[in-house]
Amino acid sequence: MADSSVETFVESFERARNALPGSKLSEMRGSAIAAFARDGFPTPRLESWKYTNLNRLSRAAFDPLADVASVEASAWADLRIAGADVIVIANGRYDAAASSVGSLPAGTVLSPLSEAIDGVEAEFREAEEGAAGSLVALNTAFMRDGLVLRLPKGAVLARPVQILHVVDGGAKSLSVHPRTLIVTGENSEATVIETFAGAGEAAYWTNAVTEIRVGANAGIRHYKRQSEAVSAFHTAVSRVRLDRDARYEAVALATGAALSRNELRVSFEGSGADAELRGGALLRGRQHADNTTEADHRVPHTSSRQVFRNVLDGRSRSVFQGGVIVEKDAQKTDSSQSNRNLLLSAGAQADTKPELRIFADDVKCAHGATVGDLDRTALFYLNSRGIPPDEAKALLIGAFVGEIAETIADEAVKAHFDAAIAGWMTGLGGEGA
Amino acid sequence: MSLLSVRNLHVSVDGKEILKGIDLEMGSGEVHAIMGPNGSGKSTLSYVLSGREGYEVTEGEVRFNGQDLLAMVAHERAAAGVYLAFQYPVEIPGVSNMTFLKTAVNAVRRARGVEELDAINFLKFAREKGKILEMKDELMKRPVNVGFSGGEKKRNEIFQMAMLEPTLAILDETDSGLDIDALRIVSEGVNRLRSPERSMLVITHYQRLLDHIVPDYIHVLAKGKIVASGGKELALELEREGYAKFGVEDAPAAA
Repeated sequence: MADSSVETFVESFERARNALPGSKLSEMRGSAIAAFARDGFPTPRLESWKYTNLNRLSRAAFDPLADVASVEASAWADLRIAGADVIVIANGRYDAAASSVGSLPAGTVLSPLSEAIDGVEAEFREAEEGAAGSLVALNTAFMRDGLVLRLPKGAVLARPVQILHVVDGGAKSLSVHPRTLIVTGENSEATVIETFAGAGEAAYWTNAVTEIRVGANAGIRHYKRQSEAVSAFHTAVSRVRLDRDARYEAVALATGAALSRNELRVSFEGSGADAELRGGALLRGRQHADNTTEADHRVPHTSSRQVFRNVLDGRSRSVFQGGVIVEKDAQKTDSSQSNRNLLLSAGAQADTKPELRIFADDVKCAHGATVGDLDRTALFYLNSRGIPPDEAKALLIGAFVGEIAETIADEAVKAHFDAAIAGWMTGLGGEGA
Repeated sequence: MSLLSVRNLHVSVDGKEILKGIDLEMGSGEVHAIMGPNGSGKSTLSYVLSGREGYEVTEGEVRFNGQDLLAMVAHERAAAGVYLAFQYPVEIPGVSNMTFLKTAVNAVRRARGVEELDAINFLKFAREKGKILEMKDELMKRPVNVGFSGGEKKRNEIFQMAMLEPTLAILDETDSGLDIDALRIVSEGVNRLRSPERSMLVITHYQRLLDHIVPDYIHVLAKGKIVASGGKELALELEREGYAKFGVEDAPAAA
């Protein structure tokens, strides 16, 4: 299928290929754009894209090479996490002046991708071998900047690492393709927060890819706040591989973008590995947010928990596709999944689809999903104690969404997510579906 | 002047008439008990007085402190001084008892024109009132009623009543499902809250509660109407003779 915008991306690539960073990646980029030209944008004909239609995105004319003025980073100061090391990626490029990184354990690499790109080829090549999908291929073709974090054996980062993506292309419809690579050695630990935000008159598109490898007995907390401009498009894939006894904890909260898709694929490759995947979206207007997960248990004695909560106002729509695969050898897998959706208006819609593929026989796999509105009995109970209806509603909604980020222990990081929730809550009641 | 004046109150739920002309006058500081068999309309009366949706008043009026109670919505009635202790207290996951109570107390204080309590003064106030009900601190941190035993839930209801300082407390089957120890704690709490400024409407299926909370007046509710009123001796008469005397089959269970 030859979408005109697919051709535009291919042409842009031909013009830009020599200017893109990392000469060693040139061949990989070439095969990636060929794969994208062949496959085009994913369509609802693909089972994994059944509920999210990229028609509007694929028809828009996004320019990955648009020459735009630099972003005024100080305008985004509220989004910086106090006490964190911060890498700022503005309009897809590293902003050294706005970034700040303190001292790190010996051997640790914490760098923008553009400055570490010569060392990533092997890992990216390996990642390309999986069936990643055409949006990851497009990212590979155009990736310019992002984050590289390498932790040597035993390194424990005292401060959280934040990668702050901001886009403001003014009147130009920019597309950015940030790439992040996190590789951690045995017994290492870190907290990484990806924050996405933007502004500007024209709609833009963020197409992000994050690769994470958690080493033996290492722990990564990976939190994502998606607060893109409400006219923006956001597609993201995180691919996570867990070694023996690795611990991975994700929180992905979305309040922004007209259309967003957050794909989180975790592969359990060493026994004893454990992952907790949390997330959800707070939506209004005609926003659409898709959370698609896959916990692929490949070896015995691994565990995963998935907790996703969506709150929908106006005519918004949420999608949850929760995947769990338990492969033949993965005996004693313990997995659970819970998706709850709170509809605040009659025009909102939630699609939820658990997808369990189990090929082992000695496993625990629990799943549950609900779609409903606010509990009227609970509202009356609160009202009968003198709490006015709006305040009662906010209390119940707050309790519901509180589950998304309740596992975040670091206070400053928690505040970063609470601010996104509070910001969304202030818009409640001001909408007539 | 009566604190609460219910006149010829008719109430329907889903088009079915449940209350068929209730008259009730309560003065300040009085404790009235309403007894009746299942299905007589006891809970409907408590909900219609506290402002729950879905209860249609087809006839009659209710005045509270001279105001038209039925014109107010639930949270306004609470601010005006009406309190309902629920027969089945509601669980609210994710909201701590502390947050819930602080929000409620300050909403009511704001509406009554009293200064709101800051965190420290709220805590002092909660500790002081909590003693009356033997509330453990740990119950304050837990989500509202989640994982509470039956007795803890009912104690929490009376604790909230102590915090919100109503002028009219409606206790809807507060004794149901309680063992004798829990009943003692709850009813002692209620008795401590009796005052000349506070009236109570005690709704119960069981005569047992009235041994602990001794009412000034007793009314018998049957088939949506008050069929008898009298002093506390009426409870004993009911226990001896059952509701049959009032044309009702169901015998009152004596504890």
